[in-house]
Amino acid sequence: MKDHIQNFSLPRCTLSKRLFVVTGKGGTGKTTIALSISYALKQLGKKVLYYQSMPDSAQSLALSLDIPTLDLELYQSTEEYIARKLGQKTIANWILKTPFFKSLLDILPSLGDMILLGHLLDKLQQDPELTIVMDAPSTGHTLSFFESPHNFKSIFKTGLLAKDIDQMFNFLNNPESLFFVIVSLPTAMAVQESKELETQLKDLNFDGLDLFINNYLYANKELLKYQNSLPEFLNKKINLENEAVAALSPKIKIPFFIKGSPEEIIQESFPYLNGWEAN
Amino acid sequence: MEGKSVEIFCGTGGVGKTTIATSRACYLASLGKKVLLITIDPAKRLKQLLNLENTKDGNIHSIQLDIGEETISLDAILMHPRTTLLRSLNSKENEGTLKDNHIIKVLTKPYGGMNEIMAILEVQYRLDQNQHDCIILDTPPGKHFIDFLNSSEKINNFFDKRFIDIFQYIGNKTEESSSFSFSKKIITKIVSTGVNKLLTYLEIVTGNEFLEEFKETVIVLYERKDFFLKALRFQEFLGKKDLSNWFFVTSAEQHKIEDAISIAENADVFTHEDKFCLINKCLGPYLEEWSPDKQNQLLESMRSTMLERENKLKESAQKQFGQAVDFPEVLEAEPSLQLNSLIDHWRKTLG
Repeated sequence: MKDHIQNFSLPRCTLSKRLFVVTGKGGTGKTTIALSISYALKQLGKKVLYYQSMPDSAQSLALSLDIPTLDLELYQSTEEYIARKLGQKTIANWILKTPFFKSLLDILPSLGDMILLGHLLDKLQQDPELTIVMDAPSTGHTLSFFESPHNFKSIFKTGLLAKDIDQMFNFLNNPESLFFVIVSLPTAMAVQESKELETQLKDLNFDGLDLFINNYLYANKELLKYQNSLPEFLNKKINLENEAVAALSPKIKIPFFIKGSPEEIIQESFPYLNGWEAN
Repeated sequence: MEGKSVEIFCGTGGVGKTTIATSRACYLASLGKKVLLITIDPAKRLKQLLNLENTKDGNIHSIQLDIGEETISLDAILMHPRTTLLRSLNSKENEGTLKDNHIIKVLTKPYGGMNEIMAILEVQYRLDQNQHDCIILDTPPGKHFIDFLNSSEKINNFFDKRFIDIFQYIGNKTEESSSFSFSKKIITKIVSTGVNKLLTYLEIVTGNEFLEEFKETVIVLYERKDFFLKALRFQEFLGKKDLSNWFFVTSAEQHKIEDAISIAENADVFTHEDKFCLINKCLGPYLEEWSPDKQNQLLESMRSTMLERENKLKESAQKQFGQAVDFPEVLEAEPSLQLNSLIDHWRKTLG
């Protein structure tokens, strides 16, 4: 373990990114990867915040790994946002209290997405040293999240918001600042879906993007020592996985770990990011 | 396990929910039932298999599938929120308005945030048509669908009578609104609810063009209030044991089972005793048959670790759901072969 850390390094292009968005099909291990990236950056002395757009048990996992988290709450973020736009806190507070606005926010999730995204970008602008690693919701919802400025741009043509959305666009479409990691599993379906997501993100002009494979049997070095004594079903599984991975050609391959607590798995996973060039 | 009028498949992504739902549809179809599968965004390879690849219209497609020796037929719909919404809101006077309205366009994009309510409206519409014995709903992944069912209060709030009156007044849509006494009543309401002030501020932030379109959208949605509220009442239908089955699909991994349990807990108010946990991708049957060389400690410990872990997961699912069914992992790359094997499993263990 110590050994890993001593030899571990990341190139400048990776270290200089401002926002990593870790996404992929549900259950591919986005949280493991997002926390591994956060952990790696922190080991290298970067100021990093882990942000989970739909908080669950990962918050406490981050805590136990000593990774600081960013917690945004929708109503509060909205209030701060409107206050900044109108330059008046009391009015913002009042707007958030009107039942109509509240119910509008409830039935229009993409409006909330945009506000949270705006908030995230504000944080990054305020602190040039900061990197945020976003553990994004699975495929569909990530798209809606990052599509939201695109969508709203077509709705708001004038007004203060339109200007803001332009700023968001500039930040988001710059691969120097925003970088996507699509996490996939070594199965044909997951790989297919990851490639679709890659295309969809590129269509939205997000060019900074890498593919990772997670839970890959063939990357488990210890297991491979015994390759000749593995039972047929495991060999079959390994073959299927290899075929799927070959079709994806991922930048980083994280092995399938036979055992370990979630903390241990993150500590075992992060050294596989060694030398990762995010470009 | 008998087929019911509506069968709901819930689960987080990556567990094979759509494949399992499809196999259930095929299984019921092979029993001679007239089945409709409503699915949202299946993986491309499954789409190819179901011949839904180039359909984006949200209409019914008849499918013939060769499963082993027999050919089965079923109907399938690839959800298209915009089709569902426009059909539902359709009336002569607002047809044009809706088609060109940007907000509606954005909202009904595949990820526009209205997938859940549209899925329910689609099921309801197809039920009313009464052309199928079983409707299989492959819900949007994650807990959003359950969140949606839980959000009836939010939707009810949005359709608050006071807001509706105000927007009708602002939009000058009703004749009544021009009468003096009505205006007076409304103005009192506008002041007391703060909507007017809100719109003034909104205009500063969003610009006038948006505001006009926004008012128009709200008015159109309000005009069809009954229709949305009807969707909320659909929960009652889902809660009836003789009309529905609930399936929570998960796979044999720690966090997946936890997710399934938490989704099921959230869905508790809607479900009934016919809820099943389907554990997909189980390696248990393979592991049990495998006896590694006694000398090889790594492999033996790998086998026992994996088997133990899986059994523990099954136990906790069993405890939570009462009814847990495991589906062995299918070690085939072809979706059609995977599907065959799953249909077979329904037949053998659950028939």
